[in-house]
Amino acid sequence: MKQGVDTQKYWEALKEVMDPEFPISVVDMGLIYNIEKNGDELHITMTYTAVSCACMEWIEQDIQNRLLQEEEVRAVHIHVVWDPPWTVDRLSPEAREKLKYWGVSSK
Amino acid sequence: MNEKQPGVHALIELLETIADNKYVLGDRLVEVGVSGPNLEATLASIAMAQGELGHARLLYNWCFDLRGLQGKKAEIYGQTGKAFTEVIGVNNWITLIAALYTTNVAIDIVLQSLLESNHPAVVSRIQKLMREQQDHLIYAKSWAYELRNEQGAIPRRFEQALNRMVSEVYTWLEKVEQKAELQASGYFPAHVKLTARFKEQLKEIAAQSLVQVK
Repeated sequence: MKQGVDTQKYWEALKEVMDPEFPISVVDMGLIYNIEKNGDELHITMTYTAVSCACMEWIEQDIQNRLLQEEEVRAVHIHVVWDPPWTVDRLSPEAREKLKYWGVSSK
Repeated sequence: MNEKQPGVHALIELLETIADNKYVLGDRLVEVGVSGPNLEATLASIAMAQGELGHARLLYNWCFDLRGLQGKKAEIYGQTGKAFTEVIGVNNWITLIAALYTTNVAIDIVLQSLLESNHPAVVSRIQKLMREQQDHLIYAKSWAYELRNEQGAIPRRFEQALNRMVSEVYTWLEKVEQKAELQASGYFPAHVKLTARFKEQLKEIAAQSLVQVK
């Protein structure tokens, strides 16, 4: 996960975008691999927990909507990758705590 | 014409065949699986349907990229016509398990062989799919064992369904194996042995003695 100073605010913004199935942000889920800013455009490299995720378009729309709220952002490009594949190792400690609270294993 | 084009065309055809079968299997896992033999089987079947449809979506989108289509991915309203006849014909639990087992064993062999070629464009696309597919294989294999050891007419009906399925899948693997452009383009290792591996895998459910593999 790359987190440059100039993109820090976008990582923070994406902490407000929740996975539709659990109240855990896409950042804490470990879905976001990279954020790059090129002029007024953002390039997000991300993955999903499963190839068959039924919420892909929903999540991508939420990411777009949130990032486009930033005044200086004119466009958001999302690149979905499957390598490296997502595993539970990518969950943040905060996400693990929440899953534990809901009785869901993160091992 | 790009010198890689024949290889890319062959790869698209291969991926679409896999995607079509996963697409139809996803549909059948819901249609037939909803009346599964028990609640656990039905719930698993519905969950796997989502998995198969997701895998199909990934492969169709990959084909769009290989064709150079830009922008938002097209909606997928149906298979491209390459699904196996026996998969399309699944209409009960016995034929569903025969199709799920045989098709996924064959697909796994093909994808594993693609991985072995270490082609960078391929590896990053299918690693995750293959991990998820392992659960489907375990499920299908367990049910295949169960149907083989059932009472009454079920083992014989399962054997017949498996025979039809294996025959069609074997023919497909033979054709894929003989596509020189896939090996020449580096998508498959040289002298890839899909049919031999398929026969070897069938031993897992002791199906080799049952089925009429050429």
